[in-house]
Amino acid sequence: MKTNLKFAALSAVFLAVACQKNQPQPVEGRNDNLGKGGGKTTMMVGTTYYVDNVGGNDSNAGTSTGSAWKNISKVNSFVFSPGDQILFKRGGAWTRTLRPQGEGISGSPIVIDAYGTGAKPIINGGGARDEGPDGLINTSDDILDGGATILLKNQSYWSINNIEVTNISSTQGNRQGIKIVVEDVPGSSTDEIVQGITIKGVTVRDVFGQYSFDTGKDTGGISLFFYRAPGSASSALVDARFQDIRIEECEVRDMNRGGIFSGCSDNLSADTHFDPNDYPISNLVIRRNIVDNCTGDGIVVRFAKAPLIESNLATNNHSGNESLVQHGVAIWCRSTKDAVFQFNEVYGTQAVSSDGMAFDADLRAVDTKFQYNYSHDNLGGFMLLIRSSENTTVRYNISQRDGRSNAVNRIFHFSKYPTSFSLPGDAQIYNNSVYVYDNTATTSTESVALSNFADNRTKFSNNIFYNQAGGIVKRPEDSSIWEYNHFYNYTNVPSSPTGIYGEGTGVNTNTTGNPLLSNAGSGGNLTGIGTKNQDGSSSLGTQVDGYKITSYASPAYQKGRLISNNGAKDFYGLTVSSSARPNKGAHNGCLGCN
Amino acid sequence: MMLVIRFIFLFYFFLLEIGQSDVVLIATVNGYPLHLKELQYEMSNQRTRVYAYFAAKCDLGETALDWTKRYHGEVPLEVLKKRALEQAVAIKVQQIEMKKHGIDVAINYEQFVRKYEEATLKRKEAIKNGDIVFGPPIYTAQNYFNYVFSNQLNALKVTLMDKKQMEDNSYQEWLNKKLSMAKVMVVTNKW
Repeated sequence: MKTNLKFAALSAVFLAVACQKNQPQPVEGRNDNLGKGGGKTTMMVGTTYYVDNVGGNDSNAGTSTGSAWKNISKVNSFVFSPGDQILFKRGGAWTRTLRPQGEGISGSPIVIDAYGTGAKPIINGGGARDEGPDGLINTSDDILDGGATILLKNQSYWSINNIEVTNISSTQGNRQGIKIVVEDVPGSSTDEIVQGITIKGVTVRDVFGQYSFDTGKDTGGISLFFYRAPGSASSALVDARFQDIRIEECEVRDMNRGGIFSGCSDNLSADTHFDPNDYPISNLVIRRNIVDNCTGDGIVVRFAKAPLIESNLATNNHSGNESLVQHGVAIWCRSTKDAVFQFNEVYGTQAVSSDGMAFDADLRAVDTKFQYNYSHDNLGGFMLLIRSSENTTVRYNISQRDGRSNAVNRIFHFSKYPTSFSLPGDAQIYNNSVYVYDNTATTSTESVALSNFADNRTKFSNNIFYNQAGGIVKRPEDSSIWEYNHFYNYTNVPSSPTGIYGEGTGVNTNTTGNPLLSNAGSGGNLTGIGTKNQDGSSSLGTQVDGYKITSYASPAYQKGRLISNNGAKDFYGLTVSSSARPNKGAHNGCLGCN
Repeated sequence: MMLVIRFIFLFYFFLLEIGQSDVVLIATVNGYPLHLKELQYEMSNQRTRVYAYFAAKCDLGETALDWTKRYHGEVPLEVLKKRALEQAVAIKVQQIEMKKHGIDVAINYEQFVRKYEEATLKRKEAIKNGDIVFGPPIYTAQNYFNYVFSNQLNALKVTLMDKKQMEDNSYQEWLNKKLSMAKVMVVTNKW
């Protein structure tokens, strides 16, 4: 042990000396634009700068805890180099937008973090807001803060960790907490790219943006933002990109209006300024965040190719006065391709009359997958599909007590608006377990499984709909296809096309009766338990095991239809065969097989 | 022998210290204890909000806030403690109602800590086994509390609506009535 300690001590001394030798010399005003274009990974050892709002002094060097800087204005005046760290003292608090300069390089980002012990350092934007509505960061105030508490504009390779951010005001405004901006350069022949951004372990509270969906959907917590270059033609397509963005393990609470989102400035339209066949955000991961109590939306992904949104906890969103915030869904995407939403737990999304679902494949969302999610107690329902969404897959999810609002009463909702877009197409909704719970006896018979416009390319297969109090399947103006689903306690069951397993013409493959689940409706919270075991064995514990089939006699047991490209795993991590008939519902357990 | 006695004394004081830091009784709400740690959770939740309140009120800019200094008649720490107490009382009142309605709730802080520790152990085990978990890898006690409480709150709302004691969206009204009837006994102001 002594030897190890001695070795560690020597190593520390060696590293300290080495670090000193390799420290880039801080030169104020320098901007060497390292990292443009990315590609090569280089490790650089930078300098660590400390900021202490009580014991610091801006005339200090800033390079030790005993010679820390004091103010954010000092930090903002400095141009940082790859590998540099800017550490704020825990327990400290500052009111000013943090807008540091410089860029990291691949492998050597510039890091913002905390040091010392105690509560996370607070950075308060003090009500900073984008002075729009011109959609440019152009007024003197905009240039200072861009409407955010932390602003990075056209700067790559930054990591922001372990700080607490707020941007409170008594009035509405175009505000964000952390705002990462890419703004295309007029006349440039290449795309402006912002890449290598990580935001981890950050708490964002109380950002007071705007209520309205139309003007405020891009205000709130953590945002990726496209800006139009000053002087560019008003009809020009956005010529900028984000790559390699991670937002992980953050807490975003009490937002007006959104939690985590990608968006664009007011003068850009998602439908006219973005190439519909191009997706300028790539390799975006939003993972293991808590997003709670946003007046509007929780997590919104737009303009992204293959974003991964997983293991997030989105709770109690769309909580604002609905007459002000209008639409709102906990987690959704728009103008995306190949988005994957999985292992998210979503509950408590509010709804009086508009939206309030857990998930949404919105306008021009193409090839989206919603799988392995646990959705419960979302008043507006489980799933929304908007016109022009294409080829959405919804599979192996559990929906429990969603759509309970008296005024809404739905689980799946296919929107017929806006009418200028085509109906949602080619949606595949299979092997989900849906538990419908009604809050009053008076509405129980009106409870619905879905409503409104699903076209004849939408297919519901192998789902279990379990209605606690009895209800109907409501399908106004709908021509969707239903086959091999199971209904419990419904007074009407959709008819099916002729079965593919010799059932005979006119035999409904949608079945009824008690599916003999372990204990439907008993799902509680998932905290503290393993959920999926990748090797196939279940370690889910008891919390949502109520949706497992318990008997060979279940009419849902091995009575589903084979589906190609079925994902190979069910909600519980159990194998789904590519050749044998699966169960109906989210559990594909093989009784007596283990 | 002396060494053993000395060790026992040290261990006793160690336990006492643990007890002091974790389960100091600050108040009772309808007869149920409210512990320091529960108030500290709420202080943590409110800290940023109180800081921003004074930053705006006093135009602090980058000047450090002295939490114990009086600003325009208010001391930040006192405001923070007052808000934390109000929030903690509201939570306790709701927990008591949850218990009345048969919802499984760890109404005492010690019970909550036990459940949190059990849950954390299971979660760590799951991560170690390579299982996929929902939400953050490890919850802080405060986040765990927020999570469990909001789930219990959902259960309470469902129950109240089932029992026709509340209509859709009238929860706040119902809660305000309960809060107005709550009996809060402050045991000590020294926290």
